[in-house]
Amino acid sequence: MTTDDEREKQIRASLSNKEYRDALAVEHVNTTLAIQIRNLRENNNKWRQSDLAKHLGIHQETISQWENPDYGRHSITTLKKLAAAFDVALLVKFTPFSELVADMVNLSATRLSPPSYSDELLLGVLPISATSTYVKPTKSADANSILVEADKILQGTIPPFIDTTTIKETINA
Amino acid sequence: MNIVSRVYDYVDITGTNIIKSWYDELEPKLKAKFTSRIITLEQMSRPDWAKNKWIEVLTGDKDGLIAIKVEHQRIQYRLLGYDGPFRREFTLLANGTEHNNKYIPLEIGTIAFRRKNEVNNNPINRRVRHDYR
Repeated sequence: MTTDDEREKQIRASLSNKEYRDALAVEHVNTTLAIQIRNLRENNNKWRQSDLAKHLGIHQETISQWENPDYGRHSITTLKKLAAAFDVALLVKFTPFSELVADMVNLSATRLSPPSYSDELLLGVLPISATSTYVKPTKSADANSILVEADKILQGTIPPFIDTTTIKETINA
Repeated sequence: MNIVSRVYDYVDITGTNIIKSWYDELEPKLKAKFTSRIITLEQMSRPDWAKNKWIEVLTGDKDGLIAIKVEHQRIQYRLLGYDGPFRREFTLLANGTEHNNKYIPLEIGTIAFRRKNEVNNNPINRRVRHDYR
């Protein structure tokens, strides 16, 4: 019987084939990128593909391609533009295969649908400062869940990084 | 670990893991595509499956089956399964290709439903956890 731990061991063992491990690294990027782009567009911003296309000045069909893991030809320049549009950070780095496997088997909701900067402010993950450029998430699909999380902070279930009065004022604004 | 649905392979009456036998014969790049998608599917909630282009909830004569879709060298590969037999489980049943909205083999739906019944009737012996090696 294969346990969840054995699953990770099996994936590590499968990496002995050079062609396979190279392909797996590429496919993990392709699959997670496609899901992240769709989630960030739909869940975080409530954008249709045409909305995002208009925002970036490109065709809707291109967005559709980006959300298909079989596409796999995203440029780093494109990804930087998408990150800016979604107000999230982009991390591109070389990494050992052990870290790749760990990433593959730990696809949390936050990993697949990362919160934007303004969502992180509301969640209290990032501190609100006088110089913060706060963008009210009017297009956020998850506005309700953010408020639920903010409630948890106010109730003390989640420790805030900032003064809870500030969050209250932000929510009421 | 963020497993939402554990993935299983169909095993035939002789104890042969049919999915593993097929999987082992795939060229590395195609195998990597399926591996990446199966691992991801394991960690996605059921309502999210249909939102992705590479997962298709089938209808018509294949109603109740779900296809994991991969394009490789202009061939559309399909791996059919269903969410079951128990909660938070997904069992891989049959593989094929798709061309002009037709599956090859044509009887893939019939094969998948027969295997699904076999798994449902004997979940202990007719499926094993998916093998990623």
